[in-house]
Amino acid sequence: MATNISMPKLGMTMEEGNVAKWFKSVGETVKGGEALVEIETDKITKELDSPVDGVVIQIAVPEGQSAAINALLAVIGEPGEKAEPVENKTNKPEAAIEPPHIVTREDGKPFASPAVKRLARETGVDISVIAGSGPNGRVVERDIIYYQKENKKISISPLAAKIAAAHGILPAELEQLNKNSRIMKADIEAIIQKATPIADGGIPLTGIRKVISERMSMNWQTSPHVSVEMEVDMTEAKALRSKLMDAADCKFSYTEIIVKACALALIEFKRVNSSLINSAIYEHESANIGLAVAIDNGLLVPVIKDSQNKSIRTLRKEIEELTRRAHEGSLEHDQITGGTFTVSNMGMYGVTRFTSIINAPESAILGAASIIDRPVAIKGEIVVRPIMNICLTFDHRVFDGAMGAQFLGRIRQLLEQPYLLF
Amino acid sequence: MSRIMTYGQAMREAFHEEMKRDGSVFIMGEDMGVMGSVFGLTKGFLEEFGPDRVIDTPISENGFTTMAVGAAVRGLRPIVEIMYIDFTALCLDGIANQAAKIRYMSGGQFKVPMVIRAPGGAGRGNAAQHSQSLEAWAAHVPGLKVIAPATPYDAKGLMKSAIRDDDPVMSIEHKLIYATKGEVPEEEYLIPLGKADIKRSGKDATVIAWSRQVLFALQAASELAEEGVDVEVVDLRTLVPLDIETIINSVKKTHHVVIAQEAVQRGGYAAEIAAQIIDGAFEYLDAPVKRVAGLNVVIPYSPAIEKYAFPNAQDIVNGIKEVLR
Repeated sequence: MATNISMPKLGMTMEEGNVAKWFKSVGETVKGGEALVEIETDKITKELDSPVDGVVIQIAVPEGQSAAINALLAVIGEPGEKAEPVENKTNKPEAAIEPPHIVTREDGKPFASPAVKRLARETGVDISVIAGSGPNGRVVERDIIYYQKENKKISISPLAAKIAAAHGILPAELEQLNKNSRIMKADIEAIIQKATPIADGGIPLTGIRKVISERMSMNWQTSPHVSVEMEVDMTEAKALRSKLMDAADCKFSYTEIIVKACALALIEFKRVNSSLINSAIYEHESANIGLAVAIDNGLLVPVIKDSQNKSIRTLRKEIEELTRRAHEGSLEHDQITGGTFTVSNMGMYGVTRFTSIINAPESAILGAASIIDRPVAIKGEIVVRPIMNICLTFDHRVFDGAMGAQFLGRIRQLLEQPYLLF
Repeated sequence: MSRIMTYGQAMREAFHEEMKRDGSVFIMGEDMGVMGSVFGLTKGFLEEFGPDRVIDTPISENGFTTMAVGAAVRGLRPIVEIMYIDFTALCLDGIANQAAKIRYMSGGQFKVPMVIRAPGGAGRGNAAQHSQSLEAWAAHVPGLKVIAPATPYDAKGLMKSAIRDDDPVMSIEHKLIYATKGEVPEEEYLIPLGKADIKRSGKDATVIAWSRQVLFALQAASELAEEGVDVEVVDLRTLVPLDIETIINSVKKTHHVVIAQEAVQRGGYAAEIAAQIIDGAFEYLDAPVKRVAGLNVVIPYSPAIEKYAFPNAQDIVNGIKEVLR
C-alpha cells in the first residue's frame, strides 16, 4: 500500500513551498523517520522525514521546483510497486462562473438584496425577470446596473452581465459594440479573447448570428421539442378583419387576431404559459406574447405584455410600434424580456406549415403559416375555404401531447369563431 | 505645529494638561504613583502633583472604584485606572450600579464626573484573565459613556473631553496600541464624545471599527486598494453615545458593511451596531452586515494559538470580499 507524501503547510500564510533537495532518489530505500526532502518557504527551511519504511517509487516534484500546499511530492511504496501516474494540479480549479438563474422564494417574491428592491422600486425595473449573480442566485446591485434603461441603450443578458462584471468590462466598451439586439455571453467572450482566425471564404459567425446560433442550439438541446398541428378555417377571421378595417381607421393584420386568440387560450391553459426553471414549473399569470420579427441577418422577439387584457386595436398599435423598433434597433430592454409564449407568423412567405424552436425559458411556440384557399369537406360537400396551418411546438418536459392538442384546439375554435375573442 | 508621539504619551499629556488646568482632577489606581503606571502613563506625576492627586491604591478594585464614586459625587474629578479591563468584574457595582445611576436616582442633584480607564486586549500572551475586550459590558449600562480611541490624536482629544465630562466615562484602551505613534498638535484641542471619524474614504465597502481593529482595517483597506476595491474605514472613537448618523451615511454610500471587533463575537457591540444599521439603512444593503470578530473562546495563553482568537487585517480583507461576493 503506497504512501503519498504531500507538501505540508509549514506556516499560517504559506501557500506553496520550494523543493530544495531530495535526500533520496527513485528506487532508493528509506526508513521511517529518515530525512526524505528539504522544503524551503520564504520564511523557513525544513527537512521532511519519511513517515514509513519503504522504497521511493515516485518523485512528483523535482529539485528546484515549487508546489502548492497539499500537492503530491513523492510516493513511498513496496519495492517493485508501480507508481500511479499522478497529475500535480494546482489545488483549486478555476471556479466556473455559475450561469445565473432566476430564483424565487416560496412566497413568489424575487430573491434580491434590499438595496436592489429599493432600486427596482425607484427605477421601475421588474426584478422578477432578472437572474441574480450574487450568492445563492440573489439579485444584487450589479445585476440591476446592467438593466437600468434610462442611462444606457444597452440590453444585456444576465450571464453576459456577470461575465462582463467579472472581467471588469466597462459599460462604455459594451456601448461600442453597437449591437442592435441583446448583448449575450458570446459578445463578452469576443471582447475578452481574440477572435480565432477563419479560413478564406468563410463568413465568421459573429454578432447577432453567433448569438442566435448559440441560443438556438441551447434551446434545441435543452427542451425535448414535439409538435402538434391543426388546420384552421379562417373564413370568419377574414370577415372579421375586413369589417374591422372598414370600421376603424387603421389596417389590421391576422397577427393581432392570432395573438389575441393565443392570449385567451394561454390564460385558460396555464400550464402552456409557463417556464421550467430549476426543476420547478412556474405558471405565469400574464400572457406576455413575443412576436418573432425578421431583421437583417437575424431575428428579434419583442414582447407584448399582458396581451390577454388588450383589445385587438391596442394589440395592433403595439405590434406596429414593436416591429418598427425592431427594424430600427431601438427596442427597450423590457420590450424584449419577460415573454411567456411566442408567436411566429410566416404567413407572408407562402409557407404551408413549419415547426419552430422554443424561446427559452418559455414552454411553447406557435407557428402560423399562410392562409391558402383549399378544397375541404364540409357536411359531405367539397367547398373551398381559406385554410391556415397552425403548429404548436412545445417542451414535452412541461406538458404532454393531449394538453398541447387541447390548447391548439381552443385556438382554432377562437379563430374559427372570432366573436369569442370579445 | 504637531509632534510625533505615542498613544501612551498622548494620554499622558491629556492627564497632565487637565490636572494643571483643574485642581479637582486626580488620578488613582494600582501603581499609578510611584511606578508611574504599569504602562508608564503617569511617570513623574507623583513628584509633580503630590500624593493627594496621584494615589497608589491597594489591589482592591471594588474598594477604590466605589471610593472614586464618592469623591466624584463630592465634587472631585477622579481618573481611575482598572489595570486590566478583566478586573472590572470586581467593581461592576461601583461602575454600573453607582456611578452610572446616581445622577438619575438623585434627580440630577448629584453628578458623577469620573473617568474609568480600562486597558485591555489580547496579543501579548497575557492569557485568559488578562486579555479580554469587555466594552460590551460598559455599553450595555445606561448612564455610562464609553470611548475607545485608536490613535494618539484621538486619545488625547477624547481623554480631555472625557475628564471634563460631568458623567462617568469608561475609556477602553488597547494595551498593544500604547506604543503606536502619530501626530499630535501642540495647540490644545478637544474631540467631542459621540463623533465618529472617517479614517479612510471609500465607495465599495465600509468597515466600522474601534481601537486596535481600526489599524487592522486601514491595513486591509490598503491591501484591497491594490485589487481595485475602495474601502471606507469608519473609526467610531466613541461607542456610547454611538454616532449612528455617520455610520448610516457610509452604508448608504457603499451598500456593503463589515464590522471589525476584537471582542468575542457573541453578544458583542458589533451586533448592536449591525442591528441599528438594519433599522436605519436596510434598503441600502446589498449584502448582509458582516461581523469580523473574536472567536467565542477563552483566550489561549500559547502565542501560537492566541493569535487565532481575534481578527487581524487578513480576516478583515476576507470579510470584505465575502460581502462583495
